[in-house]
Amino acid sequence: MMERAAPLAGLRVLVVEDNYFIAVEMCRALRAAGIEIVGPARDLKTGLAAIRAERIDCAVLDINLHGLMAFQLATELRARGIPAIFATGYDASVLPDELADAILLEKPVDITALCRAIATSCS
Amino acid sequence: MTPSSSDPGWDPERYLAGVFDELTAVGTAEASARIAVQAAADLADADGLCLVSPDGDCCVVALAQQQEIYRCDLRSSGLYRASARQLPWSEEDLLQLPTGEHRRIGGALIVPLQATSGYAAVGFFWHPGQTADREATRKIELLARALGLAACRWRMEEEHAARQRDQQRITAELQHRLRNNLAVLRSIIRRSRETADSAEHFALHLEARIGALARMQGTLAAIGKADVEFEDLIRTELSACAVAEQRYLLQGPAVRLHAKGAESVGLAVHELATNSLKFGALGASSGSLAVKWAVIGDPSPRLRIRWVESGVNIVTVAPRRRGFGQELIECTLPYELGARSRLTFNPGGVLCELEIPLEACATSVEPAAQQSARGGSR
Repeated sequence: MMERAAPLAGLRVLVVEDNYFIAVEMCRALRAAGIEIVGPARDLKTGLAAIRAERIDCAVLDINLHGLMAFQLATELRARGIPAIFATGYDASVLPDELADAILLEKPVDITALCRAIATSCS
Repeated sequence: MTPSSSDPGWDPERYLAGVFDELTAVGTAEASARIAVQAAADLADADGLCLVSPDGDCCVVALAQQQEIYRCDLRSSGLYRASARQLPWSEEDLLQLPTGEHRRIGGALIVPLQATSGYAAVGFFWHPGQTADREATRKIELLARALGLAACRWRMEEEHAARQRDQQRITAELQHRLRNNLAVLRSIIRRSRETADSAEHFALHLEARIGALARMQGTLAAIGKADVEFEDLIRTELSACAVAEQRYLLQGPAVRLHAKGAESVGLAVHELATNSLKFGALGASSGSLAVKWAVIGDPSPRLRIRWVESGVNIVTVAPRRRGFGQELIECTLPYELGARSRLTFNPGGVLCELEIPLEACATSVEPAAQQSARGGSR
């Protein structure tokens, strides 16, 4: 993790996750890697508001947010040229065609893998 | 007669067997109708056929010498009457194709099909002035039976494919829940470790928390429903903590919590009950607990829950640092359900007040007029 810290430091990452404990754990681990957290957002509405109001370098999205799918957020991010990474219990087959090339990490998410995905997406 | 049937070596039985093989190899009404109409022309010089749907609304028409297959609504033409099994097509009846073209279907031979084929009957018709003789009728009936069997088969295959798709969807959903649960569990383990005083406490609490999570999900899975009665949820948690029914009072209207609401609220109730047993009213012989709830607020209704402990003689001190249960009530519920919460450590016992937007936690509420008090000792 230490050698990963350098390229991630100062990046602003939006976290969208409806489960409190998962959100807290993920935010804490990302902060430890030097990342500045935007959010965490618990639903589509707050996620969308954050995308529109904040400067974001990358986003980590849960797919199922209280039963609603987060693809709209990914599309909105993509329109702004911001990479989105999915962190979800679903496998890649749920992704719609236009998002099929997005990075998807299966839960429980490995934080090292997540940091690597953020670094790759933002490079 | 077509060249094939005028061939001296031509065997209608073998020909029909071949048609049956062809029919079972295709999987749509259109393809079957095309094969069948060609066979009907070869066997009995028929002009066309009409597969009649049970309601007459989507009949399939195929004409010999034409590749086009038509879908017709016979109800509008008046050809579909009371029962498709006794279609009384007369000499005068005209079948109007979607192209606007008409076909005379007088003297049609109607053969009923078994219901599982998805069609009520198939009607074969001839050029004006022509009808089927006895031999032709026998062959056409055999052909109709083959067509019916093929239709049953492709329909079963369609249902099988639909069931398989359902199965895949359910598997994906289960996998999603399982992975999500593992992630939640991992986070709870970390938080429990951080908030525990000792390894022993950590193990003890973690075990109990996993138990509470399992009870919430078990209740939902067992009744095979997507929601759970709030009162049952509290009762289940309290009895899992071995709290006698005389020690508590539950009072409020019937409210059904959906899965997400039940999980978050259930965990909070578990923490309140455990803490109460350890430090509060449920742990002292003189103490008692009342949980009262009501639906308040209009137009945005909220479920207000008051957990009121009383009769604790010792002055309970508020914990110096935020424990797991406190975090659950003060952080998790607001984050996950948009709840407002207040946890107070009073001299007589703990007071916990929750206000949760109804749509974030419940599927249904009994009408306010039917509200009735339900005591824990009942």
